[in-house]
Amino acid sequence: MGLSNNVRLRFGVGEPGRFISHLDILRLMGRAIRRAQLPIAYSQGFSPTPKLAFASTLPVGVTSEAEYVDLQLQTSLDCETVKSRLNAVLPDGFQILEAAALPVKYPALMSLITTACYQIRTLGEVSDLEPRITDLLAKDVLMVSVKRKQKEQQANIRSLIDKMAYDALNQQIELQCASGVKANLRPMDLLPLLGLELRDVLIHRTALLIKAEADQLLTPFDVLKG
Amino acid sequence: MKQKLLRILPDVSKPARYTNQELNACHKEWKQVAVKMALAFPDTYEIGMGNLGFKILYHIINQRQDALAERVYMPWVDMQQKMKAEDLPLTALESGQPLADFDIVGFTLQYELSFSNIIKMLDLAGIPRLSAQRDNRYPLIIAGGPCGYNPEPLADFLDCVVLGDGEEVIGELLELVKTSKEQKLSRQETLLKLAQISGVYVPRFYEIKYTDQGTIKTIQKTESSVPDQIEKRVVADLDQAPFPDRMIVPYLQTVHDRVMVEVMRGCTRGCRFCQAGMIYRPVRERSVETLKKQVLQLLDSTGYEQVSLTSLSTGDYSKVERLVTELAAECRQRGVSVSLPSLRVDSFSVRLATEIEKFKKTGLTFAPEAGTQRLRDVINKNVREEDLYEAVDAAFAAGWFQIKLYFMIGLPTETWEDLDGIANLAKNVLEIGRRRLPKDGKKPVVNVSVASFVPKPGTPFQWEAFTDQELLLAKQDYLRKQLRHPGFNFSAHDVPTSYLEAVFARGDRRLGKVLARAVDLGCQFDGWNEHFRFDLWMHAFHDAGIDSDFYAYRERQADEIFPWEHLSSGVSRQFLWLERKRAYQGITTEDCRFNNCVGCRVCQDLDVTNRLQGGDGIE
Repeated sequence: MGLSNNVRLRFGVGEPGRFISHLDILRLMGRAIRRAQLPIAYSQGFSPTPKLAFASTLPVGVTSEAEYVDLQLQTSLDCETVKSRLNAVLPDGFQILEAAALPVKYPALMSLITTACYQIRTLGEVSDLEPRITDLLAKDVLMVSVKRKQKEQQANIRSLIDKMAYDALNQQIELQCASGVKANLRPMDLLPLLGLELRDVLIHRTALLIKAEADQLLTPFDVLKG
Repeated sequence: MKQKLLRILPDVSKPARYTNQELNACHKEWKQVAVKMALAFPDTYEIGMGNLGFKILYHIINQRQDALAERVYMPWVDMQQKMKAEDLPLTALESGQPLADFDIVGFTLQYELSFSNIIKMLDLAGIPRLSAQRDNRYPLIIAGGPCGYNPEPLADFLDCVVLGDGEEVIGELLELVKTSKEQKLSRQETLLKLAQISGVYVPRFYEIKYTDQGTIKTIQKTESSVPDQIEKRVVADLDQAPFPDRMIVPYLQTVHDRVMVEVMRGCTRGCRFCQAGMIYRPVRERSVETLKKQVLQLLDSTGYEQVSLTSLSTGDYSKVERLVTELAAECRQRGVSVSLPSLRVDSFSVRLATEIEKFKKTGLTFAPEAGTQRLRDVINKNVREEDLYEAVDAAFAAGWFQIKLYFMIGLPTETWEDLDGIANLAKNVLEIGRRRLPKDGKKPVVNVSVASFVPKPGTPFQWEAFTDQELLLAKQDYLRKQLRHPGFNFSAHDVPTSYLEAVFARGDRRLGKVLARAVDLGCQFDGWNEHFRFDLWMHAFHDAGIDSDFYAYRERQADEIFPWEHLSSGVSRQFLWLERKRAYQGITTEDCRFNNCVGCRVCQDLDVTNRLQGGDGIE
């Protein structure tokens, strides 16, 4: 059961892992795999790199329980073994939460992801978030300045927001928005519209999803069961 | 404190500089450890994490039950502002404890232009700058490293300076601080005891008097129990010396972010401009077996994908071929690459590089240092023009297409013909590349990098004047014009930066006032072009009433007393003077590893020898 050359992992990013870039996470996973002595496959070419395919780049500063990476191994291993061996060597702030076997040929995970869910928890007292959100969603155009290729640009992000609501009990905003190579919203770009600053909140990614037929949303593990 | 820190992190650049919890970092229970030492690096986290000396000391100190070592780096400017706004002092990474709560803060003196950062770090930590202002409520501020052979500009700020190999002294130092705490000795009593440890220099026990001309008249000790001259400490047998079996793996990319092993320490090639080649004598090599064991252990504990075989000149390691061949084979199986940081200028070194870099062939670097044989003889850089051509020919033949050539300008006796020599060498190297590389493939590129010669203490050129800034700029322009052709890239070091380095390299205690003033004016991160403010520095010299040209441009008299006269690397002043005379006569001096003793006195006076694995050493 679960014996495979190709393994999909779901991992979480906490403190202090949230403060590093995607490139750093990539390097960190490669090194953890070496320490775990997993028989990872390497790319051919000038400088061989381990065959890892990530689902998404996590914005710096955001924690997550829904990061995904596909590993290609040289030999078959039990998925649970991969998970436990990695967890034994990962540094603080990183944990493998789930593992499953992949079919041999599978499309790049990054190209499938369409949607992400975030919890934006406010650190201090913010009184009127609920009406602010209602106002925001009522508008057709939401212009924010976003950084693209080192340049500040104005962009309308209204169509990127699927759902947004305030959970008063837990003092957090629940956000579902576009995420992926085709359309992408960085949750922090939304904050100025709500009168918030990055230091006022903790952002946590709860899901990365794939929009399937009939707008059904599936996790990268759901699609394997298909 | 930590909570406050976490809240400001999202607003600063590269927050992972400040978060700690890296793999293999050592966290000890603060209250259960008798002696606490902070290893302080006066530059950013990314620069500091690459320092091998710190890794060694971190390992040795944390091996002890009764001691702990933690790291602290200079926060970037944006972080300093946030810390100020939140009223946060500078803290150590591991425990988050304020720097001021440690027993010892040990700074490394790697580079003169980091002196301002040391003072800034004391300010950020809320520790009084001057040694005289600190009592037992504050940590001992100590230092070590290459600039320790002339720490005089920092003499008023530092409590003591360790000369030589730190691993030899650190144990004695910790023991002493521990007992002085137990016995509740005063700061003065502790320092007096520290001064009894061989290799430990306590500046406050030495009084400097000056002549009317501004040179030093006398250096006199003020306590009878301290030594007249402080001699460096030496690890006699590097193969037996402690070395970490694990290294901290940072979350973000740093300088030298890979497994590092120290193949050997010291170099006896005897280049007359090179401070490292004098102060780290004699040559001590590790065995191939030890190095292989260390590499494999470190790969296991870090997961790194690269190994670097470090030393001042790894190509000179007597068993380099065996080491590289065996390691490369072992590492290839693990998908790990091996790198040699410094290549000798010869075809043998290129063959080695080819052995290890089977795939990635971008650039190779060689350092002929000077453009003509005459000038290379003057500086005792024993490289012939043919050696360089053979080396680059082999490199182009093996598939490299980018060659970087390092030179110095402003060397003693240099003429415009020597600069023409630099341009000629570069042109010939490019020509070899054009002949060697296939016509339809990548075109050869020759990068010429030019640094300004800075006279350093403890070298045969310690008497020399630093070349006039205007002249250096003219020389840079002269070369730039000659190399303004396709196929060349020319780069030159910032001249004012080198000038300031020259001032502080041979500065005395009077420069302490300038340093303090410069930091007050806002000088910091002087090694970073975007922060270097030469105007503010000149302002500081003016305010302190000190003429910087006196330190940079003045050729020293044969019998002048240097500010570092009482500090010894073991290489005798007589030998250095003789080497200087030979330089002007164009006479080269051989490498004592392969030839006769050259009489530098290190082995005799410090009771050590070159220890080579090839068995050619004088055992």
